[in-house]
Amino acid sequence: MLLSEKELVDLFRVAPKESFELLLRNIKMREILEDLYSKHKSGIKLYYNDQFDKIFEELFRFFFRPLEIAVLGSRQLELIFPLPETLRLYETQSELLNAYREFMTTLYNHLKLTFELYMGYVMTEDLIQRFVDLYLKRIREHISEFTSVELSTEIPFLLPKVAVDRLEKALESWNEFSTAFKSFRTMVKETYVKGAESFIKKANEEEFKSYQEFTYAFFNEEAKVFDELLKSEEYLKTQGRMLSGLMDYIYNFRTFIEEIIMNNPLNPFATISLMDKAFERIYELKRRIRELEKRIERLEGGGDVS
Amino acid sequence: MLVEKIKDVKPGCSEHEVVHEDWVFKLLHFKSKPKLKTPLVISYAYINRPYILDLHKDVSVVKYLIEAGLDVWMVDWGYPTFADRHLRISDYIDYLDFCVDYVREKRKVDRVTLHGYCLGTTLSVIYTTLYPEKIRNLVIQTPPINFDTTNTLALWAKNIDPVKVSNALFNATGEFLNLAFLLVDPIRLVVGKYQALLDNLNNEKFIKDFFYMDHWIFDSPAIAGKVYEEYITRWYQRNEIMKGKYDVNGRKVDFSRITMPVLVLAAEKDHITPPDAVLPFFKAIPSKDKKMLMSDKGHIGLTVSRSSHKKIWPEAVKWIVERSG
Repeated sequence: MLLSEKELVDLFRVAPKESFELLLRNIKMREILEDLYSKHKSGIKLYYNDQFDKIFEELFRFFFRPLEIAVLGSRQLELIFPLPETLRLYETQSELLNAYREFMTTLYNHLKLTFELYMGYVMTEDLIQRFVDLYLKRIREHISEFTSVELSTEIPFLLPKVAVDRLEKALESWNEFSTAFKSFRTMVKETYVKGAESFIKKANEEEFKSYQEFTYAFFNEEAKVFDELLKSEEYLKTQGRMLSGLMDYIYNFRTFIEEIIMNNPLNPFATISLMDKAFERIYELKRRIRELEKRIERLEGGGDVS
Repeated sequence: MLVEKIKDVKPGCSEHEVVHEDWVFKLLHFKSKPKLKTPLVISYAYINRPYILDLHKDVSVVKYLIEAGLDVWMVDWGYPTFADRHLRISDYIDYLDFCVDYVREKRKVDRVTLHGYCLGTTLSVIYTTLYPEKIRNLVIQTPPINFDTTNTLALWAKNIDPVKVSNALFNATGEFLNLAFLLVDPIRLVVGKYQALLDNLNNEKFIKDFFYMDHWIFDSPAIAGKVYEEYITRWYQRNEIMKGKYDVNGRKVDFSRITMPVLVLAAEKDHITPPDAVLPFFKAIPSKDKKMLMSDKGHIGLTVSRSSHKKIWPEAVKWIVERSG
């Protein structure tokens, strides 16, 4: 390890968080690059393997991680609310629970018969009846838990239609974002592999005299292919779609929560959109005040007040 | 120990005081005993922090200007929060006007030298066309004025929807912008740079310079949402300033009003604002006393590299001093 664990902990306290993360990732990359160089130095031919994949992960995870968190975070949404795909999942669960109920009924019948046979020896009638009553009460009162799921178009105050609309839009945007993110990731990975293969070809044709020369050649080959990619039409379109999908998702999901809050008469909070509106008005007022101050200054100075 | 070497790294070396505050904006005054009559007001970009011009004593442009006898003032655009989302570019121009008037009044002069840097240059150029009578000299450093360029960042800016960003995040946050600035050149900025640091762990000077820069790079203010919308749409996507279509509250930005002395500092390897971002402007302005100094460095190297402080800044400061008596 280039830096000891204690040094890294101390560094975390004083360095910017981004510098720290990038330094950690580069230490890992360096360990792999040093190993690759030692192979190259010993005359072993290089080929694209999981070491290059690990370098890729360290390099681009810094960019991918916030986006992956957005993808994963969105999945939770699908499980919370009664949308078609979620309902199908609930139905499957319902079938499973029904099977379990049937099993419990059979077990109950079996136990009942057994208890009746042993009646008078070890158990009292009251206890059995109490068990039966409790079980039936549970089935009667919570039948929907075991049998079916109903889709409500609107639950007044709790889940208004406008909120459901927002949620659907959020999920649509998330789908757009995650599709674009997959293309983005594939595009970046393919470019990286292209750069790495070009470097491997060079490394297998000529001998690099030092580690620095070796890594410089690697970075140089990668930089060349990325310079080309980042300006390409396809990349621009994909990045644009990804950003657009992510921003729509954030906006729609936030407004979905705001709609739920604002439609509930028990809600004691102002939403961030209401605050935003208030700040907009404050800035407008500030501009008007500044304009009036200028007019007064001009009036006092006898200048033009138009 | 690496930490021992960087624990004192605190950017900003010249003593200054905050002479005025207006919510998020501030006007700073650097302490000095000026010999020259014309004060110099620096308008830095609202996208980063202005102390890059005063990073540490070996590469401080501010220190250089002060030592040359100039009275240096600096506008600090601050860290816009959620509450500042509705700031507009016209508010920046308005505060710049306030600062210029404040300095004129304090120093009892009619005109000041206005020194813009990066997007602070764009504000300075807009301001100068609106109030040319208040500007004695215009100095613009790595200026984005013509946004119709082919560098990666400009292409990206033309292919995004800033309104969606503003609606979702309220402001274009510093972290969002940092990711974009690193992704523009991922191999050099995410790997090459940090591998060079690992190559130089025993070189104290290298390490200090590195962390001075990284502290600055990742100390990124958000861009207020409505400013972001306007800057991407009207500057990058429509190139309104260069086309003569940009206005501030109905007042047109007209280059024909830039007749005062103009100094342009550009950088050949600038991947953020390449020389093409200023050349058409330089040709278009009618000023008869105009000069361009071209550095062989990049966007930031022009300010903080030791070679620029040997080659470019002595000539630039000499030009300013000669016009500040």
